[in-house]
Amino acid sequence: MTDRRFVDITDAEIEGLVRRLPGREPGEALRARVLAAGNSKPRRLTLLRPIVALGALAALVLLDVLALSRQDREMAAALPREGAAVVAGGFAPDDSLSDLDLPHAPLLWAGLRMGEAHGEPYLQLRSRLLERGEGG
Amino acid sequence: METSRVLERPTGGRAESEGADRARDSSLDLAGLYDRYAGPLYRYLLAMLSSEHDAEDALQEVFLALARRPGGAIRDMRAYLFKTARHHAIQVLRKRRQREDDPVRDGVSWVNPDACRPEDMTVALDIDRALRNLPAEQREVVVLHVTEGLTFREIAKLCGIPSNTASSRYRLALSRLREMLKGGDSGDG
Repeated sequence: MTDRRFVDITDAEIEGLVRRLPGREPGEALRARVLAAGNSKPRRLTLLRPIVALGALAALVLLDVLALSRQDREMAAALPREGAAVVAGGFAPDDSLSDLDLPHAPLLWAGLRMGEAHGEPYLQLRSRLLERGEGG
Repeated sequence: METSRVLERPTGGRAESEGADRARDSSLDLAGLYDRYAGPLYRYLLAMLSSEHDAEDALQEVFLALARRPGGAIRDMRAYLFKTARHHAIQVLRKRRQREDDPVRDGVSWVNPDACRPEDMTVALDIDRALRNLPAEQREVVVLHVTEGLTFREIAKLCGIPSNTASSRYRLALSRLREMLKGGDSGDG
């Protein structure tokens, strides 16, 4: 049903009506709340956050280093005396280990050193592992 | 048209021309800025959120963000505040959508019917209802352009849309308002 008050209403008249609508105003309580919050001292989060993040990162790195060195010590202690001596003076693992595709390269390295310490040459140990199918 | 005489606005809620005030805005006088911009921002937030509670919270967030903003002059304070308000309003609307809330919360409009003269009340309510039944993006443009005096260019910048889109949204909104008012179908009433 057509509303007769608005039959011939134009865009300009609609604009005028909307413009003259009385709008709500924020209350005094809200003003006090906003200004109190805005004027309160900001929490020092801007500085605190990066400091905490850096501290946490340093702690993680330290723990990691400690855990690694402890593992190294334990592994060294687990080796027989002569094996440990070989490891201490041994050479770095070469690329040929990678084609063995074994899950724990450091353990393999230790095992190889132990094999050498017990008189088993490196290539012999490697071929034995490959024969057993441990090389994948 | 008999309705043309109605609805005199009791208080000057519209933000005046900005140019002369930019220098004053550059030093942060929170109370002064609040007194100047809180009204327009509050009405804008009400139009967007239809909730008094959400609009009040968003308004507080706007001024809090301003107070805690690191240094650096703000070239256009009104644009900055409206942009911040819009950002908060969109965040609230997204949260509502995630919670599958009713998009119209307590249905509080930016229009204050208590401030109408009794003889204007019916027309005001009809227009208010029609406005609330506009799609949000069209209602936003109408509120910003007609009641707060932003140009289409300013609205376009604020909403991240081309100026032509802002003006076409506005024309479409007026056309829909006219249809709703003519048909006596201004929405839920």
